[in-house]
Amino acid sequence: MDNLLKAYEELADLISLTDVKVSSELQDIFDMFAVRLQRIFDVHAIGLFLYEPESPQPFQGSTNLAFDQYVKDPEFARQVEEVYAWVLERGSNVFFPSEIEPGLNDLYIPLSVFESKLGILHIITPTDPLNISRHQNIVLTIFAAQISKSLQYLKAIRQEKEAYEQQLQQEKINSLGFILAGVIHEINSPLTSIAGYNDLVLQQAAQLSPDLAEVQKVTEFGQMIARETVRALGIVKSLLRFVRKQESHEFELLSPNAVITGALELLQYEFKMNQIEIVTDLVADIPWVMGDAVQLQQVFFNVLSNGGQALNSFMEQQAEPVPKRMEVRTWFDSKQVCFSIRDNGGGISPENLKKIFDPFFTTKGIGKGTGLGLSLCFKIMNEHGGKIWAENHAQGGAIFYFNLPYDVAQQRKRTPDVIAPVLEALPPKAVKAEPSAKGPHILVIDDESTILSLIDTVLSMMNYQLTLVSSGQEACAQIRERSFDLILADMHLQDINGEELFAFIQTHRPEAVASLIFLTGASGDKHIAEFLAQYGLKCLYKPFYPKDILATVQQALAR
Amino acid sequence: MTRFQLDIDALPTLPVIARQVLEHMNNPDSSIKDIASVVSKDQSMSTRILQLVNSAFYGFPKRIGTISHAISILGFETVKSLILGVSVIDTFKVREFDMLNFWRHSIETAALCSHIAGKVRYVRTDEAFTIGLIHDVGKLVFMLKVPEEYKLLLEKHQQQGGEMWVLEREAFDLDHAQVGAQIAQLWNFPLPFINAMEEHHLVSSAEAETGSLKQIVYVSNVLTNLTEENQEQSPDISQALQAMGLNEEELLDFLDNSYEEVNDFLNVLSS
Repeated sequence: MDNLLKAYEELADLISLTDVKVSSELQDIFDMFAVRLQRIFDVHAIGLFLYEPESPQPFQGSTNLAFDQYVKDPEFARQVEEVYAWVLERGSNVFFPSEIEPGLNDLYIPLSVFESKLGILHIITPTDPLNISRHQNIVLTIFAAQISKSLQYLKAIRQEKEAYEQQLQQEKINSLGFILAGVIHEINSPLTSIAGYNDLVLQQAAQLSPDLAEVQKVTEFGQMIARETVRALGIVKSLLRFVRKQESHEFELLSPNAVITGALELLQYEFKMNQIEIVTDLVADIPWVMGDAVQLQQVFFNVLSNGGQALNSFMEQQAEPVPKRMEVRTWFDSKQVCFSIRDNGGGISPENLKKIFDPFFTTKGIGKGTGLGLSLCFKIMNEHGGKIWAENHAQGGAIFYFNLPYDVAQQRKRTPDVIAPVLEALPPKAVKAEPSAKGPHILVIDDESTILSLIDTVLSMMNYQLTLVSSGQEACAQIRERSFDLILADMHLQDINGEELFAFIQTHRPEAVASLIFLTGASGDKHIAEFLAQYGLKCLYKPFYPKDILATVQQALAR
Repeated sequence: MTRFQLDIDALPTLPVIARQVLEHMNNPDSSIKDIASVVSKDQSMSTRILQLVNSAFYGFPKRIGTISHAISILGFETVKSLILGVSVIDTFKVREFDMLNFWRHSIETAALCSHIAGKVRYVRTDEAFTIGLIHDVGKLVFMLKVPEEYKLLLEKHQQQGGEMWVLEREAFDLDHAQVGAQIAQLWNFPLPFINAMEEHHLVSSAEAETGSLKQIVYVSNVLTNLTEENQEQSPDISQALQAMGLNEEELLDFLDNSYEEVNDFLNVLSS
């Protein structure tokens, strides 16, 4: 009877607690209930695990009492996940001899409000559960109901807030788009004029006596103006991309895995150079989504490349840096496909976490980033009907989540995904190892010495043998003499143009046609485009960045 | 056909172990240990309870090795259902009948009762399970007491169709639901249990209080029968389903999906 009385007292106490004050802070709620719980039981540790069915780790430890030591164990999630899921599904309190703390007992309390499953309260207790009476068990159940109510309330507030913030973010980005569209137009024309007139100035100066010190000065200044104008135009170009509205009728059915591996391939070189290991866990039978492959690839590219940079600067500051790692995952539920990209860096400060999707927000320092990358990602995901958000992972590092809706009816049109093997990180220093003479042999032809030396610099870092020539004549001599695994050729050599070079190769070394890649700056030239299309030739457009060169070469050699 | 006389005194009594467990269940101060100590005394009962607990039907991710853990994991009420189920089987040892279909129907009804109870927020889903499991216990009484006549009746039912309980009334003046209710009374079951069992064939049960045990058992029984082939005509339960906010498709899917689990349960129970 004593037991019964105590149980009723607890019950009354709990009921009176409900409406008094429900805090909007999870920690407050937890503390409030933890104190109560300690009265019913001897408690060794309490952990509150919120259930998020969409997440790859559906049970997230949120707040706890002396439970950290267990959560930190990498085996922890594997040990408890199934039991948590079972308990939550079944909906009743479960006791079991503890596996994570032998000698003590685990008490799992499912938290749910009607059909909405909220989480698990995991208690490790020395109390022998076999001695718990039915009444005490009922008290526990009511206890769970009260926590659940508070959690549900908290969740509702949070969801409302989140929806509001998403909307706010969207409005911010939309209105920015309007303003930018106007500004870009106003800036684009004068910039173009500046660049044009500056060219004229340089041409005029070139006609004067080049030995005059004044002329040299003017040329030097003019070149500086030219350089800076090009930079400004580059920024305008990237802003234009931001303003452009993506129409959904341009969408096509595409494989989420292909999009994300595409982005990874572009970054392969950069990650290798920085010794960042990429771990992928992609679901092969993931449903396909409607979208713009280029734009979506850009989303992942931006997040991956940002992550890589953040990881580099974080590890540089560490006294004892650990190997850099990024994890890329895909999975799906009944409505959407999901992605996550996680790094093992320092995470994002709570203050910055609120701002990272804001236009012009950047932590990279002036001149290093426009601060538009993540806003653009946000905008693209939004236009695809999806979402992007970032969190700090419980085990360290930042994690970005993405989801995209898919249409079940369209899945019949998909083809099976082929998942590329995981990109391996090079062992430290291996990048600069002596090139062995056995790598693929590449012929590079370009009469612009800067381009030639750029390609030389980039490709020499990998295990390639290079032959560099700066004229069509030399090129033809080389091609006649030996075979190459790959030929990179400028289309506009002074002594021979691209079509002539092509004709020469076709005649003298027809098997090399397949391994020919042209380089050109004339991306809009119709004649060139037609020529390339006619023979199915590959082309790399200038201006290109080192990673473009590498990606193109790697792809071509892979065939 | 002979008139069937139900002799209450000659009805099988519940095994001691089930009686003791029920007593403990009614005592709020009883703990898992108390009940476990009762069950552990019966070796064969313990073995079967453990088999059930470890069956796919419950699907607990770890192996459960002792009765007390079984109780702490499944809860008092579920263990009570299991003990009752096993006791009923042991009590009514009817060899001449095809018991597999009987128990399949009972387990399916039980699973569905518990599922619906969860959906309509009936407080005790495990209680609904128990009553679903033994709702047809009256049939067992017929099989035990008047096996020859009942066999003929089953054959008649097979040939002519119609409702079994109507045939029973014609033959014996009593149907299995009424007999079952008497058994439940004899075994000191709570009144709502007895009522739900007694009226599990009456169309009026469809209109019982929304979400009541009676309505749950009625609807579950109709739906479970739907999945069994011999049902040409089934009572209209659409209004009851609507009132409870249930979707017939979803419930039939549930039955479909729990086939394996039910089989597993069945194997243990009838072993």
